[in-house]
Amino acid sequence: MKNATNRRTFGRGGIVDVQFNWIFILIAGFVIFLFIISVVFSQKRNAEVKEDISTINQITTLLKSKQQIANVYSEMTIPNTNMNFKCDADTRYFSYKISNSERVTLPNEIIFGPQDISARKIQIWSQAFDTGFPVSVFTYITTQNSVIIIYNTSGCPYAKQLYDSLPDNITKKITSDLSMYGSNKNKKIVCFNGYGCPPANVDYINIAPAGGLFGYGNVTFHRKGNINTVKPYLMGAGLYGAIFSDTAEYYGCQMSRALDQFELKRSLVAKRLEMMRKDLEPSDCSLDFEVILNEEIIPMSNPSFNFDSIALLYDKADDLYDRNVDLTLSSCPKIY
Amino acid sequence: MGHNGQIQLGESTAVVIIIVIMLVLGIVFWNKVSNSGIMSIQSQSQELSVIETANTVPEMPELKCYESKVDQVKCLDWYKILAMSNATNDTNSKAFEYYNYYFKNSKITVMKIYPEEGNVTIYDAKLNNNKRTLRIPIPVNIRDYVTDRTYYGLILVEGYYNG
Repeated sequence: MKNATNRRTFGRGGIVDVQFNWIFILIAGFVIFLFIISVVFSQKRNAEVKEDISTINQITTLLKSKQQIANVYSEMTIPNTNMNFKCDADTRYFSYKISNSERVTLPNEIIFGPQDISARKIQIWSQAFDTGFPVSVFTYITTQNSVIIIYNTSGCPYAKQLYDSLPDNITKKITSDLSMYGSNKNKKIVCFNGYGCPPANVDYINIAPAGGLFGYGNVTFHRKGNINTVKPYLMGAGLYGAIFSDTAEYYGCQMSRALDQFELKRSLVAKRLEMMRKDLEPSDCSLDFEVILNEEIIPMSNPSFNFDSIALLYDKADDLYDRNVDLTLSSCPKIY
Repeated sequence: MGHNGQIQLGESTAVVIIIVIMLVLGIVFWNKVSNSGIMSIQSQSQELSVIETANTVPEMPELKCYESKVDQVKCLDWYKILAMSNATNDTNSKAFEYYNYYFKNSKITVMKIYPEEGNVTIYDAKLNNNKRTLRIPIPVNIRDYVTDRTYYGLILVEGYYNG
């Protein structure tokens, strides 16, 4: 009835006119609707990117600050995202990212840990890497659901030594019974050469100390199927690096980066000693400096990440500690 | 379409165009406001970065005295200063690249003030001097282990940043 009335009121031209207006409003409304939706989505995307950037900034600041102080344990709560660390062995380029954000480079930080982390709380520990003079502070990352199992079947003296040196907040066990940890995918088993290791179908790290547990030696990354990769380690800081790392490649990459930093710091020490030697009056001190430069500092230059080079570094670093004591007793300036 | 219909269509078009123009103006205005916010955050973060650098320098093992203690005035080793200045002098060197990560766009000068005067630049990003700078002086002791003398001095951290 109403339509009939309208038809009577508008006539044929009026009906076309009203229909056309409605179509026009529909199309324009749809365009405006799309526009508003696109603005809302772009804002949502921006907010997500901003949140990722803010999280990355927080994590980067925290990781950087950990590198300033040695021997500190701390915990960091992060948003429930996936973190991925990547170390390129060829370029020595180290970076990390969270979720789908851009990678952030950490050019000077040496961080050992799993390459993929998916946890709300991460545990961070740091140790000084010192070779007669300070080189860097290594950072170790793990999570609460990870466990370090020190395999001890025959009263190995190193097992207790290693166990005691790890912070109590990190989940660690000293045992010969692995049956209760079978289902744990985040376990790291450590054993010592000559003191028994788990069966070949288990992943583990076999430590073979050559100059004391926290001096230098070899670490074998054993993977199921008898895949063994042997890498050297230097000092306690390097040994922990191997224990906390997921793979031999990642550990090797971080250690190579650490040796690059070693070379830089060594050249600074060499320059300082050379300048002091020149400025000192001819004396026992200047003679000592010359001997230290020629017998320790220069032979340590450009080390490679292999057992012989690491053994030489350890010997020279050990000599430098003794030389520093001798210099102090002779009232000479110290090396560092 | 009749004359009335054309007028109605014209009105609808005008309303839609006005709404779109208002939306666009609103977005442009909002963008400008948010950009000015970003610029202010950027400038604040650059200032914070200079302050962070100023705090880092006296604590670096590459510069500080080997007997320095937490409760004492910060102390720098004169020969470590000279060694670092020498190493970072070349902006293409590995040492410059390494310290650039910590010192960023700044110039760091160590000044001996008393009893003798002398300046050594330990790091200079060598950016355009016309850019705005934030200058932070930090009082330090400078220890010369060769002459066994201690100088009173300053670390001057100047941060270059766009402003």
